[in-house]
Amino acid sequence: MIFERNERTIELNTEYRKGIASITKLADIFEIIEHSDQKDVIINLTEYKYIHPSYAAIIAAMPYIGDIYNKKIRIKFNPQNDKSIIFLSNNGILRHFNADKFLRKKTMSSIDFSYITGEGEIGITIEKLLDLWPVNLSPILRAEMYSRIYEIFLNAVTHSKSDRVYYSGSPDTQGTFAFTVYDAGIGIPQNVNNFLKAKISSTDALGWALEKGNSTLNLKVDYPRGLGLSLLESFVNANKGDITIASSDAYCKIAKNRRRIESLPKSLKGTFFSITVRNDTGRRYILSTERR
Amino acid sequence: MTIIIKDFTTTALSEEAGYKLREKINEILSTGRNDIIELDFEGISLFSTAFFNASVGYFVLQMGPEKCKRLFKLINISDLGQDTYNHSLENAEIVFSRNFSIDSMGLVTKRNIEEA
Repeated sequence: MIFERNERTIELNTEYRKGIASITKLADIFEIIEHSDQKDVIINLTEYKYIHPSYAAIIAAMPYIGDIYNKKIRIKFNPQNDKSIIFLSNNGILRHFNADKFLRKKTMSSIDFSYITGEGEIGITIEKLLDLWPVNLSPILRAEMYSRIYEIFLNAVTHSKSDRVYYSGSPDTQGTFAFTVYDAGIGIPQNVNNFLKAKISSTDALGWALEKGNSTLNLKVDYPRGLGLSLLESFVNANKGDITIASSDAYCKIAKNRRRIESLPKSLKGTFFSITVRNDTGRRYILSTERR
Repeated sequence: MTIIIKDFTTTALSEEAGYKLREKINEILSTGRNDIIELDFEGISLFSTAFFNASVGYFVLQMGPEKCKRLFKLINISDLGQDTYNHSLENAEIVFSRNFSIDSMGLVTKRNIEEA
């Protein structure tokens, strides 16, 4: 294929496994997009090898994010590359962008990529995605999942100052299910520094935001804000899962009752929040309250 | 005095529902009565910290956590709801302990009025 001179192609032809290295690569993509002289940018998946499902929401959000950079972003794929078609089908990306003719039947239960534009859409979105969750949910467990996912969306909608909050969810090959919420908004470090009227590092800012009692919305309203994260931690720890947060050049992984915050070599646009839990349908999730 | 939550909301999720609960509590407090206020969550299965922050959390900042713990009694609440409430209360206690003063609240209220 001949690319026009005003096109820039970004190749996604390496593996994007779960972890800080892949998030750095994704951050690099945003940097390339932002600084590209070309107005047309192509995210090229024709040589796709592997992308962890937790990153589907970021990849699929890129055509929308082009507006922020005054760029037109398109995703290119090869229908003969089975792996890429399976990835794009399983995460609902083909369907979302009306590429149904390339769809393959899903190989697993998953939550199609989509987005919400405000708090009013959270409830109905959660109802739909819980119907698609791969593990059978008792009414009590469904209520807990609903409540916890509500906190995730509410945080993103409230803090991002972004017009869209993207999401998707699907299983990986490790017997777990990854649910991701991504926004291309202001990012946690900037939000925190604006609130504190300071210039603390991104990792310090992320650490501040994760602490109980801290919220950039405190003192803007007459009641204390936060803290949905501690509830999510309880649920994830009870079910041997983990939480990954990346915002600007700060990264945090929460697993096994520990938090690890590190710097990213590159700055990711917005905030990536992904929760991974078990996907073995023969078992049920443990309620956070059952641990006590 | 008992406030039946399902009388004005089907879930304890949103900030908006939290404001409604706050209003109900204020109506009781404005009568000058010092009785325990029961919050009856019969029929409520979904909870978020946003709801409790906007309702009980507000009173924690106004009166202090100890007074609130004596004032409010939650009944017919699921483990999920109690867990969520506990997290919200703990968060509110931390904010209160950081000298969130009446003056600060006054400034917030004044700013809100000016911006309205």
